[in-house]
Amino acid sequence: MAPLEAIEWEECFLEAVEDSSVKRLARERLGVAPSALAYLSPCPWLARSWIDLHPSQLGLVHLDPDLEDLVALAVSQDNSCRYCYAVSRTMLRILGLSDERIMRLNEDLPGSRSGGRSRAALVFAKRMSHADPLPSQMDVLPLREAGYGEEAVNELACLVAVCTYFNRVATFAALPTADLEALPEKTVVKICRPILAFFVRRRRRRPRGPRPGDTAHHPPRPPADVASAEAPFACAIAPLGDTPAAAALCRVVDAAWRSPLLPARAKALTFAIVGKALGCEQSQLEARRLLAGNGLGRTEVTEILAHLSSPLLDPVEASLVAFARETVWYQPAQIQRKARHLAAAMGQARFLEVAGLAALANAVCRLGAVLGSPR
Amino acid sequence: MRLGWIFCAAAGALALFFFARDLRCGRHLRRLRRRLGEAAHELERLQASFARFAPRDIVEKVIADGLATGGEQKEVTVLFADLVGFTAMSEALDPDLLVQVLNGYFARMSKAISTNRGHVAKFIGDGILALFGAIEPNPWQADDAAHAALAMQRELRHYNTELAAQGVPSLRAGIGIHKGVAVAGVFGSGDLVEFTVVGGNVNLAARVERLTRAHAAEILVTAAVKAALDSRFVLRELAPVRASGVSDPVVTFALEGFEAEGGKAMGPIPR
Repeated sequence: MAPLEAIEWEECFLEAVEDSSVKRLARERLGVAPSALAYLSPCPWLARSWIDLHPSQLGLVHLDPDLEDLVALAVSQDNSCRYCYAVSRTMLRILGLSDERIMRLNEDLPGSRSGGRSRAALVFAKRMSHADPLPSQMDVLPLREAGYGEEAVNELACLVAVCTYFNRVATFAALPTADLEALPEKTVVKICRPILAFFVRRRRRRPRGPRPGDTAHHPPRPPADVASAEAPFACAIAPLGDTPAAAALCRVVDAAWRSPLLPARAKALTFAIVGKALGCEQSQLEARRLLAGNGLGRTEVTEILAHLSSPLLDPVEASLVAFARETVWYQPAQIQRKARHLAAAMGQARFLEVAGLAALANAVCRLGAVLGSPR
Repeated sequence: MRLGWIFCAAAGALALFFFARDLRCGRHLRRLRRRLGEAAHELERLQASFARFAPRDIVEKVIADGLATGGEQKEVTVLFADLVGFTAMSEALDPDLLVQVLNGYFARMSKAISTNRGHVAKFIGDGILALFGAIEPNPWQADDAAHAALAMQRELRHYNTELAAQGVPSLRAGIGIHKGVAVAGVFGSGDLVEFTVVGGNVNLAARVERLTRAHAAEILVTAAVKAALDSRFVLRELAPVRASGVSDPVVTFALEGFEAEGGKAMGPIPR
């Protein structure tokens, strides 16, 4: 049994709602429709982000796909996400790693994989994921010494940020893990493993990222208004430059901001609280800028951030603020119980938006801290 | 012809021997791997359990380097709680009942502390040392500690009602809270180790708890805590008092409540 299966994980409290258009899109782009989509579809941008931010869609051309799997495993382990861990474990099993080997990776992730390059990447991934304290220039140096160039470092940081995002959404929504955890042990999977591995590897050999001309589903470049410096948290994503990863992240942040489920002020507050908990100055400044545009002045924001409460907050914002602070470091079952209360109080769609925003804030703050720090 | 048969039989026996040996080795290897896996799993489980009581990076350092790991300076809020007059009460109570009363008290206080994001570092006799912001950074640690103290007060009131029904005298606790930089680390030797914080600020929190008797107040906070508290906490300034081991008189404030108005969360979201 893999160690993470012993972590306490609540029953999923969300209702599965099938959305055939999202499923179709997932099949087209990823080759498979993840079971998570049914639980996330009441919040359309969140379900769509599950596809848009999939590592295979980010055009990570400077990273070895095998390393991507290991990074995903390391980050899901650091965040105690049973769902994402089960996904990574299944993928590694299909690609031929035994359970013993994966278990050894768990014991000492950085030390157990072959080269110094992988080791440096995994140490960085765990450091960035845990963010206690936020990673800085010192954490990027070993990557440079191990031979990672600017683009590879950016891609790695982006991959870790995206993994922390998936981990949080899956954990807050308490996505069901039983089927995924049992999958590698199924006889049919064991028998078909070499064929599955062949198809996985063949898919990975294809050009990665959005296909040229696929503008309807995934424009290769963000439109000017999304990519502009005025777009929410563009400053954190800007160092990724004109890459598919930057485009995907900009699209997701923009879609989250345009969603009508919660007011913009509540969204900016979520980012501000997560930024404060992580000690990320850049995110706090950006959130303050956005809050100022939504009627909350400097003094009011300072008061809210200092004590997480204010008579100015409406009931939705007060709930959201209380939940957002818990999303940085948590025990899965504890936060899932809080999430269940929140979902019961505000409804599934709005809860999913809160969970997605908090997860996005965690990802963007970490990314901004790494890419924004002078290297 | 006969030589051929002998050769075939010998080759067959040899193949059978190697096959049996491989089978045995394979079985042995699988057994070893399983044990290794179980040991790894157990280690991971222990590590996960320990990580609830000490920061994960410290747990990892202790596992990798042993106890010779360095401490870390951290901004923490320290809460000391002690039962007033419990020594006299303990002499009058039956030992079994005493243990039962004290364990009930610890259970309720620990819950009040942990639901407000603190962690109990240790029980010292009938005293409790709780830390806020020691495991993970917590910019709202002073508010959390003050809420925890008020929750402890409420829990104790409920507990006293239960004790009164059993004919046990009421318990009264003094709580002192101070905020400052302290050295956090794993201290101890041999079989007895613990994650805790040490330093002048920790000692001051203990002194402030002792001052609850002099001021006849249940919860006292220092000026450093007051500066970081939400303005809706109700505080009453008390006269500076000399405390043992502290050169200057200590200014404290009695924490008397929290004015919860506006900004109320929807639904029963636990703190």
